Amino acid sequence: MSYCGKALRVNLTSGSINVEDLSEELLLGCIGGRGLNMVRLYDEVPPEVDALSPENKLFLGVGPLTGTAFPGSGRINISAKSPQTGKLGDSNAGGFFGPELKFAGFDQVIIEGQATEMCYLLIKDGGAEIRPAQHLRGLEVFATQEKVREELADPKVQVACIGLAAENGVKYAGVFCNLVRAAARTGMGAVMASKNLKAVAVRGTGGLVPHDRLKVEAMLAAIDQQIRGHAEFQPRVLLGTTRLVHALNEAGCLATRHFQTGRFEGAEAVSGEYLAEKYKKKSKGCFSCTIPCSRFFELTDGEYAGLKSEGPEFEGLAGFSSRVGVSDIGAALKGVDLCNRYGMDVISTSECISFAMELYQRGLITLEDTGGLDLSWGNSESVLELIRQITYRQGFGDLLADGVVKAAERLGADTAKYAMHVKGLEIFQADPRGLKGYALGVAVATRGGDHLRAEPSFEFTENPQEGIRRFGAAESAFRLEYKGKGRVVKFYEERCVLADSLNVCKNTLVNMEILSFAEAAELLRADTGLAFTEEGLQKSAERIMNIERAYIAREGVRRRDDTLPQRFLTEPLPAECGPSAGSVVELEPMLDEYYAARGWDKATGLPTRKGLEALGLDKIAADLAKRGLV
Amino acid sequence: MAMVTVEVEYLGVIRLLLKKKSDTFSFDAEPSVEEVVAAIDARHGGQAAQECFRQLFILYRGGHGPGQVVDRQVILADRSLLKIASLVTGG
Repeated sequence: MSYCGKALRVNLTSGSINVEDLSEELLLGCIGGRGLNMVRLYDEVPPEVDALSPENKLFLGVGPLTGTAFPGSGRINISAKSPQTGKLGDSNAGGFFGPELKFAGFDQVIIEGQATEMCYLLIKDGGAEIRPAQHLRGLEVFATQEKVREELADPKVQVACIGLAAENGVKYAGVFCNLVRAAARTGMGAVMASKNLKAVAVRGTGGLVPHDRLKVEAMLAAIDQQIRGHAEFQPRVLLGTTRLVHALNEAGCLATRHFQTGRFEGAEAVSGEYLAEKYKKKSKGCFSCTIPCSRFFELTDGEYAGLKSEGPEFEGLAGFSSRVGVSDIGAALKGVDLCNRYGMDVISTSECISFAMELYQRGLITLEDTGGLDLSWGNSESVLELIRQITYRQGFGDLLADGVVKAAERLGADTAKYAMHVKGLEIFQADPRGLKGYALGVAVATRGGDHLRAEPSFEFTENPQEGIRRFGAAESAFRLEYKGKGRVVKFYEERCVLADSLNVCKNTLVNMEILSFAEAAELLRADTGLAFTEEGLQKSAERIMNIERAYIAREGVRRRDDTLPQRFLTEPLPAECGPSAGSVVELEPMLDEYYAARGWDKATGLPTRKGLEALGLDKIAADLAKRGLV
Repeated sequence: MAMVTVEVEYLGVIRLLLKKKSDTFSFDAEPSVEEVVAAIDARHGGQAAQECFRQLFILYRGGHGPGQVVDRQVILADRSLLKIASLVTGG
């Protein structure tokens, strides 16, 4: 059976380590990974808890397919209350750490309290120990992973760790494994650092035996064929997400100079195509991957010649190129590499820097404010220096290290309107005005401004008949239209919940829409022997969405917070943006449609008591009722 | 009748499969996008041409911007620039 049925609970204050059983009812109800973490987060981290206090808890969750032969089953969710947003923290990484946790016998790890001195946690075959890590203090991410593996004298040990950014209190520091595989969003690394926990090392030698091996093998062979025959297969294998630099630029919605336009004149020089042709050495995939979408590269010329690493993803590549006006691919890759080594989120880092650059352009800050750094667009030296200053919380970088909202608060005047975030989380590298389903998804995302909570890629299909059939509106199939997007986003949010709770790659489950809920239930029955059904799984996905909404509602989130920066609502994309020129986001009608699809109150955006109870969330309904929220 | 010239710029998967950034094609009359893809097939054959209809066609009339997304039936004037780009999909 591919559940371990066990959770490991570690208290770093007392040093206690306990193994808890996970009930069949819990696993059927919340699937695993993200679902399991969200149930714990709601139950164990109430609103009064400070995110950086010992009372906050860090949850590492994997799903029933993690570590199996299912394509892309190498993912893990890391969750806690976010120190960056003060609300829901949750992030997801690929690589090999998640499967190793399963092989060690756990579906979830719960880390509580705070160690008196820096430590790391070693999990091995059903047990764990807390080990001293003072000698790891001050090490970068790659060095930490290497050192722990060396110390344990086992090259198969998987290590998830924090870097200098987390140690220094950068609020958007992440947790990194397999060098660059990052659970980087919402500051989970900062939570880990607050607990004096430098790393979690895991080694397991157990196997996962499917309940019905023949059935599972037959289903996986069919899924493999579907993936290889999918239109998305070739682009993802050849270019991964880096294809989006040119694709979004041609569509007129590539985040350029902090969203002042959607066309970057230097796109070719920083494109995925250019990177692949000039510097790519080979493809790279995660555990059990059919679509190796990442790559190893080595820069062979220019100022940063000799730099070699894995990646980057589109978000890092565009974040340190078009978003900051840099057309030197070497500098952009160096920026991504620094964030990986220091252990910081590339989206939040690039937003904080490009925000400062726009303020500099507008004269809202000057050389005096920046400590002499010239923040003109395209000044890559200043960008790289700011990454370093943020990491060490020095100079002007210190002001940016708590995120763009806090930076705007400190700078005051007219700066807040240039902060590109939703609910305190900085937004991605596509201009929402050119992708209205994504715009809605970002506005309502339960962890704040993030695109990976919905990924409503149906809006790129341009097939009006399918739009009518699937979502009741022809317009739903077109990225620049807004009708039908409420239903599209709800559908894709639940696909994302399924992917994050099974802990498999969104390339397959969300972007390719492979594995329907019915097929997922059939596969889980064969894999686990538990009585999963299509209806039950769909209800679980909806339940998890409602738990998350209830959690952020308890933290104060309402409809007014489901919004976007003003620029996207009122300033049309300029004429140079070609196919997207003139577009703004019609958010309010999309929100109405979304709340209606969810059965939430249109005026407040709150779930209803009846709706929560219908999903079996009676305890949460009662909790919200006690607080006067339903 | 004068020849019609169309420049094709390859982006995304087509560029990597062809190992080529661009081509120039000449036609006796103004071609449709579909006819341009047939010319790509005739010149290069193989998987790249087959992949073309899974991509996005962006037309720059007169060779410069702003570009517009077009379908395979659209007729291209002399000195058009046609870019064949990856679809915007989830990342």
